[in-house]
Amino acid sequence: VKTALRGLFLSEAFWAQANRGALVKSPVDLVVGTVRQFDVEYGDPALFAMVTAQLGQNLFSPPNVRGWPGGETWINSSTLLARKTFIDRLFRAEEMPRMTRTAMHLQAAKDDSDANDGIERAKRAARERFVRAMGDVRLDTNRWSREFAAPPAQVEIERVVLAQAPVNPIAADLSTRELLKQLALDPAYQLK
Amino acid sequence: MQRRDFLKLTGAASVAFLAPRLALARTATGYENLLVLVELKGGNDGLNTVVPYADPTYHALRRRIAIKREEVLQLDGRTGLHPSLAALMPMWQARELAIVQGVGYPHPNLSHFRSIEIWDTGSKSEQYLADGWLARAFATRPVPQRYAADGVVIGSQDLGPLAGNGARAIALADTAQFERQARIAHPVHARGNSALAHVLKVEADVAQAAARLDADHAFRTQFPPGPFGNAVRTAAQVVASPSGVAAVRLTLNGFDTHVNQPAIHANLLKQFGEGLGALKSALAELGRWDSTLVMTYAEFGRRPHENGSNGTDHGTASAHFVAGGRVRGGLYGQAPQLDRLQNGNLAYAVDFRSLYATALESWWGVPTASALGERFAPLDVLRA
Repeated sequence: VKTALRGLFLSEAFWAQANRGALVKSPVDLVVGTVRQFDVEYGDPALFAMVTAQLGQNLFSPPNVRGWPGGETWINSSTLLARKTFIDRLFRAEEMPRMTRTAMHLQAAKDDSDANDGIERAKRAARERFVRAMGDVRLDTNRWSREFAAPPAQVEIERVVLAQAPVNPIAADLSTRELLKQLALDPAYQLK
Repeated sequence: MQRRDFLKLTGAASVAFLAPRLALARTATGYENLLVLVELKGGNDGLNTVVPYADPTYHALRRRIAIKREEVLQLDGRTGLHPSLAALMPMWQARELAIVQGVGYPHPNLSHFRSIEIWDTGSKSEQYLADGWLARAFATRPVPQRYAADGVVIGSQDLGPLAGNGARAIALADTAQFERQARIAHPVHARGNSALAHVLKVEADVAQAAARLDADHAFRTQFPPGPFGNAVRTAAQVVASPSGVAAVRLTLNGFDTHVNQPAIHANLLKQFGEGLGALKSALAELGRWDSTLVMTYAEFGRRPHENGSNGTDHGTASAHFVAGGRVRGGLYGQAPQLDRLQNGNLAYAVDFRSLYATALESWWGVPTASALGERFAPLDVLRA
């Protein structure tokens, strides 16, 4: 194994720029990867299963025995917007105090639905669980940047967050939080 | 001159312009003609939708769930519609509703996933194709760039017939919500590997559609409540946008009626019928009903024999609807041959790709062989 790994890690293809960021992140890659990469705090982990389902990967329930088609089919207009909305929400979670958020979302969920049949009730229960769990999510970008030995340069952060250079131009002198948000919303963040 | 350009010139046309509009609409083929596909997801029970009410075998096979003879909406001496489809009767009487019976394909597959894949890609039963049949048609004959998108998918995340092959397909639930969400999408002109190129293309498609779709046309039409009514409202908003789309796919979920079918099916057909009625009314307001072709589809019909749970199991051939201002109403295809079942299922009489050929060749002027692999004869359901 040692010889094989050595050969693998020293091969040109392993280090080639062309092979970096050449795959689309699956919903699980994206959601779990984001939560771990930004050290996101959360309460109810079912939240993330609900999000991957929205993004087209309902855990343990592939569309058929062949599994998910994967690759580029993960991304269509609907799932791309849902991916960006999820990331946008995570970063918003830092801006608002927790109680306000939860109360606001729950009210919105109540307004959405006043039907009372079983299916609607189940949907509403799921929505409320989602909203409550989302309210418990914390993303602390200051704590995140303290993990670095010295305050990281912008380029250094880009390399940590993205598998390839960002597509959109990134302004200089952004706050760490704003920089991370822009990088996570960059098209390159969808790749691994 | 293209009809679309003509409409642009006339702009907010007065009623006086309606006559020439109609005259042009009648002869045009091309993407000025809108295709609306309605997916009856789960496999609609054709026999309880278009009911062979005079056939004693029908009542014998379905002792508990047959639609009673006195309840059907009679179309002729032996065929009638489910009573929940009352909203379709004005369309039938106006002779704008074609009902095609016995739609299916050889060697039918009874799995939801595989059979809808066959329908979505327009493949043979034993053939696996990667791209949707509409995506292939748009690759052969591209939709003009000025359109907001090639097609819009409403009420489903799955792009179905619009999947793959570079089609500019937008999935949305609600135009206003889409416009809000799309603010975080930006078109960028950058190059990269194929994965990045795909992400950038989708992002650009979203941004273009968001920029060109209109979300606030005020319709006089009352849209029925419920998810399908909302989907129809969204479809009407998309069509109201000046830059438009070539195809819209709507999905109505829940037709997999294995258990306690009668109430569930009645509710679904009511949503479907009222939704289609509202669609006609809204498109007529826009002057688009004569340039719209609506077609239903589903992965399969259901077994003629009811099951032990007051429902029906996966079957084969089924009845489908084709509607529009230029449709020649009436019954087409073959009435169910209930005394000649094959393994307990209906034999098909009309290949589903003939329905697709009607849209491709007669409606858009796109050669069918390029999108379907071989030529299928269109159904003669359009007025000349």
